[in-house]
Amino acid sequence: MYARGLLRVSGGQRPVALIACASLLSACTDGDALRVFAAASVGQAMEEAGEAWTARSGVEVRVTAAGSQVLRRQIEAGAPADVYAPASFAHLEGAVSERLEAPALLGCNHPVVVARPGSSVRALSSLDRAERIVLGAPEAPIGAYADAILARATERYGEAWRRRVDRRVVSREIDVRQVLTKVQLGEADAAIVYASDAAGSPLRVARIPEGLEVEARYPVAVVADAPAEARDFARWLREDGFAHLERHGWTRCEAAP
Amino acid sequence: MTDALRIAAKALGFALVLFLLLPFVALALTLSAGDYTAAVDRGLWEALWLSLGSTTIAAAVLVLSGTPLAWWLARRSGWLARRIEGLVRLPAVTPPAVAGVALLAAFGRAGLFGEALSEAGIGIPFTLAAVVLAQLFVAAPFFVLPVADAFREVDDELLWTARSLGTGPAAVFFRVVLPMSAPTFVGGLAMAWARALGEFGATLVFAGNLPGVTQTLPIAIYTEMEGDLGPARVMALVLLGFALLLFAALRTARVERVLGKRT
Repeated sequence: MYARGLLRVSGGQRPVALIACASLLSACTDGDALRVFAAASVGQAMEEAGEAWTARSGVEVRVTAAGSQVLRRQIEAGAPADVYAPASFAHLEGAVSERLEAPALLGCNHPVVVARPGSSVRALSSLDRAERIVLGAPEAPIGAYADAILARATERYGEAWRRRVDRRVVSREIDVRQVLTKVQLGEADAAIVYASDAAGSPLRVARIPEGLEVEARYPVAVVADAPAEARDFARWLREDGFAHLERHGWTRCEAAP
Repeated sequence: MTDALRIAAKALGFALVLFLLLPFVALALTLSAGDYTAAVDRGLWEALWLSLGSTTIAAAVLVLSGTPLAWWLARRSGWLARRIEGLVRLPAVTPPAVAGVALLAAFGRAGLFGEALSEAGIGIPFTLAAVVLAQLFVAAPFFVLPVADAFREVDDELLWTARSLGTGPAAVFFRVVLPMSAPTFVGGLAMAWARALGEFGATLVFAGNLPGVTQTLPIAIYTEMEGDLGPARVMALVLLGFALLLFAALRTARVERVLGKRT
């Protein structure tokens, strides 16, 4: 369960080639397919976008979805990627930047409050009415965002509200999937996850009120030696192709970085 | 020909040793100076004590309940005993994350006994009790099954002789059966303890991750891997060190002598 997405390769029309790649542990080229390395959270939306792009341009798209830091190390080590879409700009810094062209802003994902339909949590302001709250670990991006939101919310709703919230936090889960699962299983009443995770779940979703919200900014970068089609795809993804991400909860970013 | 075979066999065996050892050596070699203090800052000792405390409770519960079960399994060979032995084996082949989901399905708030438990004011998930239950669940087969096998190997004649000399059944168990099974008893306990110490998947799902409450060392390690790998490496080596220490302690404690001490 915790290894979810580590090796999720999809969109491949050539299972035999995939098996050969896996068994030889080698970097093998899959004809002229476009190889997109996408953060686990963007994976599903990226697959849909890739299929649409294939239908439109005839160029096959193969999406590898995994944790951004895993993909980053793979690209640094020379893994064959054409387009890289990690979960934050921080994953473009360091050694990986030498293999990338200048990145562009792809879109924004927003942390939201999710609650079990039966709970009395209706918004961030009533988060303190939850019996059990689950957040991401401070080390995980979603946990850091949650901490930032709670810090701002404390100024608006008061110290007493914050203490009630803190008392009800029963777990700081390792990744956003674990956070969401705990609420979906009914073990926790409320949590803070990304809008893209909440989309399509039966949970109650409440946006973070204006002035308290944070934006998770997702970049997209083309790998330096990628074919021209990679640039076309990345551009389309930010323009018409973005509809596929919007369907999964992404939005256009509001302010300049 | 046989010489060639022997050399090949040796080479293969040695290659396996290298393969098993190398990752640990690499783990130690890739440490850098500031990693230890960083690991301490990130709650290394808190997580270690939680791991040691919870596994000690789990091991104690396992010995207290697993020993009678192993004895019962050893003395019966009927349909029911064989079925129950199979059931005890089940957690050993269940993926830990699935074990966690199963534990939630049974003891979680939305689980089978959730309503009854919450009416009694008991909530198990996200508590130390959940950590211990997860460890007990995954570790039990490693103790119960080998100990049952060892109990079976104790010669029935010996038991009858002891009984005919006027020794009570409890005394026969503690003075004859247990001392004779001591090596397996200790070995099984060490394996079960090590399994509990390394428990990750079921704990993560069933008990969550809150420093000082449910964050055991393996979970602290995985949490750290979201960021810098240095502290995670230190924590891993500390966990490894304590597992080795545990094995050494159990081996040198000569439990068989303690168990076999005549009173």
